[in-house]
Amino acid sequence: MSHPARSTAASMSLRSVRGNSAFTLIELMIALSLSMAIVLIAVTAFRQASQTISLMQRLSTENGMLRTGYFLCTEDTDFWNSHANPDYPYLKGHMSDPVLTNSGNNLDNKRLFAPVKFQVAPPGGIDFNPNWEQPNDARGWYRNYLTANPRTLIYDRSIGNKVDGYPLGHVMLDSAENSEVGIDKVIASDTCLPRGWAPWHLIGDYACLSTINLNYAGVSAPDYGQAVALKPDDPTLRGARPNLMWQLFKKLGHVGVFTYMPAGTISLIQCPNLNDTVANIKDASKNWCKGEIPWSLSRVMTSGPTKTTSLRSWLWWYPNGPDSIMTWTPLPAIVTCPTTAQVADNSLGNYFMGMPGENATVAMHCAANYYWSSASGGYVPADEAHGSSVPLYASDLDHLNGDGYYLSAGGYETEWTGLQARNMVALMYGTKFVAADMAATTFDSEAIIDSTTRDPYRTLDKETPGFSGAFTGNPNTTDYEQMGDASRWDRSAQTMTFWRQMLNYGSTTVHVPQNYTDAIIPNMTNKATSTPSLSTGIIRYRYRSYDKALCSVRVQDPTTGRVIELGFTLVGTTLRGARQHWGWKTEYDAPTIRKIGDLYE
Amino acid sequence: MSNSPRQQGSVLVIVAGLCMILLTLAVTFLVKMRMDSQESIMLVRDAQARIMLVSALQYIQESSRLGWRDLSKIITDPWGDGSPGYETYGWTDVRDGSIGPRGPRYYNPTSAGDPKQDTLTQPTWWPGAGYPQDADGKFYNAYTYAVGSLPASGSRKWPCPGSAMRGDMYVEVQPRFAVRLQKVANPFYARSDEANSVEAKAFLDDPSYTTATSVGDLLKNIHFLDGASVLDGPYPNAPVKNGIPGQTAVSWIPFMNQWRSEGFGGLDPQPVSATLALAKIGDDTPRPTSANLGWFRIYRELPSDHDMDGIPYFDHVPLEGHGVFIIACGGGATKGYRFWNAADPGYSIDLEPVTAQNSGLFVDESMFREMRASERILWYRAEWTAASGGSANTVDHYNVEEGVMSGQFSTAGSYSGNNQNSWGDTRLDNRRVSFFGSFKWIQRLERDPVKW
Repeated sequence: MSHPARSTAASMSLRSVRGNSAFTLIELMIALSLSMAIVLIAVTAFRQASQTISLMQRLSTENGMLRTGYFLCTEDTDFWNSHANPDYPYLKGHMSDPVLTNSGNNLDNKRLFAPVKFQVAPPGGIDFNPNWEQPNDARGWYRNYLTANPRTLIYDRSIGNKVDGYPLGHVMLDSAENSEVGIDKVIASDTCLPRGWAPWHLIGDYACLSTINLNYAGVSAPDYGQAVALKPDDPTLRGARPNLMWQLFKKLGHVGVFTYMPAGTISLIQCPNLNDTVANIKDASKNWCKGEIPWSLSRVMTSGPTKTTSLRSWLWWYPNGPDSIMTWTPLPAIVTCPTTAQVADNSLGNYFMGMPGENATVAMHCAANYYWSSASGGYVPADEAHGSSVPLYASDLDHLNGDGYYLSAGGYETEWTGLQARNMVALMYGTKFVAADMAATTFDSEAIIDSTTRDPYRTLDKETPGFSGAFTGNPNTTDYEQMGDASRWDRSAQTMTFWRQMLNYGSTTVHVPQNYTDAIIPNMTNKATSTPSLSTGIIRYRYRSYDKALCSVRVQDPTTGRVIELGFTLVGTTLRGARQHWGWKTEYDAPTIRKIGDLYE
Repeated sequence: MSNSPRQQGSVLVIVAGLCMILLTLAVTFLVKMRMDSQESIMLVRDAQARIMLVSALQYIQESSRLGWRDLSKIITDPWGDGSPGYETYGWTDVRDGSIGPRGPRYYNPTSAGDPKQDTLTQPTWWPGAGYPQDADGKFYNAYTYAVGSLPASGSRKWPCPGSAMRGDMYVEVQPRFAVRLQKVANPFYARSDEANSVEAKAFLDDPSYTTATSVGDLLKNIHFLDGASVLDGPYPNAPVKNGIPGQTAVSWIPFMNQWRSEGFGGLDPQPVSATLALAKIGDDTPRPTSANLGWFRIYRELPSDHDMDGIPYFDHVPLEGHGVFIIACGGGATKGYRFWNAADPGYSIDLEPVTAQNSGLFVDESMFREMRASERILWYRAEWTAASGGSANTVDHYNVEEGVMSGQFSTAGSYSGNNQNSWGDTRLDNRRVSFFGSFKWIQRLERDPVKW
């Protein structure tokens, strides 16, 4: 038990000590150190968090721009803004404008979105527009040979078993030229068909006659006319489709007209080679591009070169022929198609076959009695028939619709199939121009757009040689390699060529910061140095029945130099669908003076 | 030693402040990420909707030629009344331009005097009477689209013009007639000249084989990669090896017979199911990960939808035929149902015979409408045509080898476009028609087309 007095004194002494006491230096240092550590940790954590937030913010912004770019590309794919939209930032009004007369006269008015006004006939009349073209409608048929058609069913449905007849045999519609089998024989030859299947059952009425020529005056084809009950004497029907195609071709060029052509239509482009300069293209006297024809526009030659005349002579002569519809008269701004078409008959058996390309062999092929041939006959390489300076660019939608590569072990076919082995053939939709063009008061389309309009195929397979050797027919050898340098048929080589050249056909639009279209490097002059940029690009082409779009989104952060690119392929609106859209847009939805696309009276 | 309350409070304030700052940053981060995620959802749905465009187009193509059959009807007319699932001839019938799809011409070999002989008969999807008849048997008829003969509104059933269909897309657990990734004996056709090649002989079990002299000879030399000719064994039970040691391919005699009677390739590939009956049934249960992602709807336009009167708003292009469609592509979970019930604006039984409410697939109306509001929907318009290109794909589909062409098969399908056969005839197939068809054009619509 403690003493009270001592206890009180001790207590006072302790308070005195405590009241005068302080942290020792060591305590203070420790406390400061701990505090500093805590603060340092806190600051570090905060800084780290802040940096994370900043990074997240930047990433989020980039992601947002990528998403925006994606949607811009999808809209571009569907509405063809990079090819048609005249408004900022696309500024593609030139794709619907006529080109100045001194800017490539052969290419006048050939723009993808040039306005074309179609007529609608009064009740009972015939609409002269691409929409009447139904498969059952003889006007829409490609007027050429009938060939045997695919069998749709090989069994007799009545007995649920195999046929007790045979599928349709080899059929040649043109009995005048080919006496083996004609349509009349097919119809009569019920024995060659499965029991229960009349010809139209098997292949469809349309299919059976799909390639028939119209029964035009001067060419006797009574079987066809009777078979199809085609009003053979109705002049308004004759040549309707070819004339329509021709009108469209004159307006839209080779690229544009394809979107209206029935599948399988063969077309031919004839272009100079060695003289292929801008200056010469502008010179009508040197410009053979006026020989560009949708092939269906060919007609029977009642005079002029004989059938053994070279292709060159024939084409050269033909556009000036007395009955030619291929006039060189400058076109008005808007083409109004006539309701009564001129006759543009198709010569039976005039076919060109070949692959596009600078040195592609263009083999001309026709019925046995209709060779335009060299002395050796048969297939006619372009060089052989026309001289090395005149390559021809021929293609048909079969190749645009399919890769056309079919390796046959047979002797006769292999030449063809070899020539067709160009899987990368596609139709490019050019649109590119540079800012300097926009600044000019007289816009010169120059070579980029024009070349794509004129010769869209050249961009692909440019370096691929054509058939250069004889085919021996021996499938066990390396005959296929004789079709030129086999190494150059390599797909990778083609692909490299494809990618290298297709850069000329893309369109880039800078969205952030706003800038001229097709200026790949954004103009940052008046922008903050930290402003990120967003640009989208699109390359369009037609390949294997598709209008395809290769899209790219590019986001760049100038503060870090970070560049993100996103690429993808989309399928959406076709060229014709886009033309319909812009026709509606500029005439009804947001009427403007400048009309674009398909218009209807 | 303890700090004073003031000191303790200061520390608390500091710590709390730091924590709040960190918490704020964390929350901001999460919210931002959440926003990104939300925004990305729309992108995903847009991409999904675009995939649906391809699906819808393929549906149109497939259904242009596939037989349309009323399953409630029993086939009583073996000669074809236009209904029992026979292959059809396109949305716009390639024979006379009438409204398709409909089947082959009526043909009764036992009664030449049958009044329906060689006529195109009314398809089962056409309600009531009034379907245009083509009784003259001619190839080409000028067919007028008789608007008045169309079924009245309210009775249009897909694929009738003026009606719509709904396509809910998902992956089935096991599609019907599913096949598996299994190497199997694969017969291939050995033509004489091909068999002479080194490449071909490598696959023959009889390298000494050189020349086929008849169709029967050809059949004998259809070989399996590792097995005997199909005719080598005791027909029809010839063993079918699959090339994998220790495994035996499913016995598939019916397919064997099918191959023998109807064409090549009956053995390839192998089925998933052990029996033909199971293969026919499959399992159409949706795989969960594939459900509720995308859908499409297709509306088949009426003549009044393209008479250039501006109604609907895009109607300024005069179109003919019966193959113009409005395609709605959706990325979302509504399975393509458009209307909650008949009280919704714009509802028509032609567009949606069974509404979302009646389907019983949705919990309540608010949920359905919320799902609808969050979807990405794209509208397109497209015109189908039987005209198609050709070339390789067509070759694959239709080609019959030249080697047996003597009076039997077309060779035209073998070539893409122009060609010449061995005796100099031109073989051209420039205007191929396919009941599968293709599309003349595809057009995106900027706004809701109203009827879809």
